[in-house]
Amino acid sequence: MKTLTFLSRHAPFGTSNAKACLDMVLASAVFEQQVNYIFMDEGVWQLVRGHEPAGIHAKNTMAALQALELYGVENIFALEESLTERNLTLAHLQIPVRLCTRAELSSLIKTSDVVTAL
Amino acid sequence: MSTLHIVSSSPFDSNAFSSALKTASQGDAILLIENGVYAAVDALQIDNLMSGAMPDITHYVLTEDVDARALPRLRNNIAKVDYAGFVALVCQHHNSVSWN
Amino acid sequence: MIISVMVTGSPVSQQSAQTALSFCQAALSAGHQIYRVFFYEDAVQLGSALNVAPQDERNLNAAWSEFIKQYQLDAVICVASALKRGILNDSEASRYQKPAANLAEGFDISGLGQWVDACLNSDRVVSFGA
Repeated sequence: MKTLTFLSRHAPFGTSNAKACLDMVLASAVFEQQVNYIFMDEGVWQLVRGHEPAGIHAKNTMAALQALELYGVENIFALEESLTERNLTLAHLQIPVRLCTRAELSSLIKTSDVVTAL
Repeated sequence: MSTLHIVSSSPFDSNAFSSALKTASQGDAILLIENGVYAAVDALQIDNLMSGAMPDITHYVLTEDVDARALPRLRNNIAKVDYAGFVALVCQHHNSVSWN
Repeated sequence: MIISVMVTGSPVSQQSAQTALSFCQAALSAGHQIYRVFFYEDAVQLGSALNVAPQDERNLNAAWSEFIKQYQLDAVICVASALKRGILNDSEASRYQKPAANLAEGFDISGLGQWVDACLNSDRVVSFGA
């Protein structure tokens, strides 16, 4: 088993990066690898509750994020600094995540076999 | 255990370089490629970003991308590598992160 | 070392697919082995055999296809990304009743599991573009 870490750094809508990252996370989980899923930079917007993307004809990925635990993805983090910069707190988020500091992010990267930033 | 951070977007229009710089820890290296090489120019805005970075991070820039863009003057302490050097850096570090 | 590469950037509007090709060539020259190249998101456009490059511009699709054939590399295009962008092999074209297939020589179409497999079987994995 390897440790695969994903840094999701892009906003939920507007580009396909967020969905592309989520699909890689799910594939890694299906293959029973140790997965770290880290939301940082613009990626933290993916976690905010209340998305209603019907008007822009985009898929709501929140259901998939909520199902991560069923796939065995338990290590879900949000970079605290990125939340703070955007005036967000845990109360704004739809799914339970662990806050991580920049130093914890660095050490998660250090202990990973493969890191993918999307 | 160390990480190679590969930055491919310009620091003047993306937070890729700044994010890599803040995340890199001691012993890591940053390699600037494609439009990421604009982070190698000697400019005040880059100095400001650099001032918050960990010491002991080695900075490299991909020669082919620098030459293509006619960068005026590179900041100090940045080493040029070609593609063979890029491959060597990937092998020397136990993993890599591509910041776009 | 055993290296795998993931390419995500569009070959038409981004530099990353060229950077990835130059990197792979340098890796082989240095005596390393490439386990797999995985094309994801816009990079799957590299698998089209139908692109036409202007005469004075590099045809990156052709360059990648030649490189893959020359070294008999395992080159996998993500099926979900490919179908959305109209890159089809014969079986996908007939499954979805499309008028033609256009997958270039040397490429295979498969799932993200192939990328996970590459992670498991490689000493290093490097991503290009996003």
